[in-house]
Amino acid sequence: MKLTPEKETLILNGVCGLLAVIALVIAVWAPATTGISVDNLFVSVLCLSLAAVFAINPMLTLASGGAFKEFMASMRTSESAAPASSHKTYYMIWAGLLFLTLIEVMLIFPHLSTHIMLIILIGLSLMKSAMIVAYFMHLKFERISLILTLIPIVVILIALFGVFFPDSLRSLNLGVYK
Amino acid sequence: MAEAKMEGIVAGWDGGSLPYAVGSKKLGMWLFIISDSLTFAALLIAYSYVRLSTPNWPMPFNAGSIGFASIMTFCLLSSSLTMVLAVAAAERRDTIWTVFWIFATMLGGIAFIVLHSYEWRGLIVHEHVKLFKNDWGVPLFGATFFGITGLHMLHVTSGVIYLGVVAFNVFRRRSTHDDVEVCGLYWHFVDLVWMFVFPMIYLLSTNIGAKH
Repeated sequence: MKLTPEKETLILNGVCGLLAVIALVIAVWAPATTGISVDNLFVSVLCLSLAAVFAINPMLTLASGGAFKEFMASMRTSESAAPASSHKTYYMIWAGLLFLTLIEVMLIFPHLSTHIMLIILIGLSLMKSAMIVAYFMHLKFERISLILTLIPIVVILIALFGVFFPDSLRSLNLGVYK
Repeated sequence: MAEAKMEGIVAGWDGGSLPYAVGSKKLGMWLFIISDSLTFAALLIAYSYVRLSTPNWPMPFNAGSIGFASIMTFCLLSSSLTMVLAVAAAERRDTIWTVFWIFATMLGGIAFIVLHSYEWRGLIVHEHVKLFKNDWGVPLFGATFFGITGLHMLHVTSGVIYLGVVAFNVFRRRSTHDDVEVCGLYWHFVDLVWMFVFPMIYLLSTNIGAKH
């Protein structure tokens, strides 16, 4: 049996698609059967990221076949439209960052539990980082291939680090440390 | 063929061109930034683990400390703004303004280092916090605080030196706008790390308004 380029593409997309589906099933299985908990959260995030990464190749093949014409057109215009932001955008992002910092500092006053405060602070910090990476570091205006190369690495590996995180709450509840 | 129709996303992977269209210096800096952010992520997640699982974690940061740390955050965010203005000036080949904005960025970084050193001195000398021992019974406080903020300060210091070198080279017209942009990427990364360090280390351990 001769391996033609079409057959190769088919096998590649088939394997990637299968792995993406498996990762998706794993991501949904635990929360669906035992409810959403902090333990499930990290494994689910990890498997969802893996599913997204494996899905990239089949999606690209479908895109080349014209399946996402409108989406591709909007991606292409954002690529070529704004090579450099005007100064006004920079000042707005700076003001936004200062505002979010102010909100974070104000969060001290409601005296939330450490656990909840950590989650909210991480959420706000992620928003601030996204603003810095997209506009100050200019990643929003680079090629989509660069964005897709860099961002999934960080997301997947941080999810991997986070898999052990629920143990800290477990130690706290067990009263291991006085 | 399907391959021939793929434009935009996959253009340039067949050889003879730069697939990411950013040049090797910038790609190298991006990859370094990704790896370094994973280092800080590991440290911060380990710190959060210990912080959450220790019920008697010290809460030594009063309103003065938080105010101080907020001023430090303001310095670093403003230095990010001046850096992005420096890159914009470099794009339009305006040497004088580029050097000016890079100096402004360095000033923000130096202000940060000075304020942070003052904070360290306060903790080491007045509160007797050492790397493996302190008065509050949780030895890990010193280790995590000095380890994480120390590594960050090391990045800020090396960033200020890097900025100085780039400013000098721009002045001597030995560096191009690409070099300023790559330097800007590193400086924004330093600011980005502080966005996580500040809330997780300072705001989670304040004693403002708490009952003593």
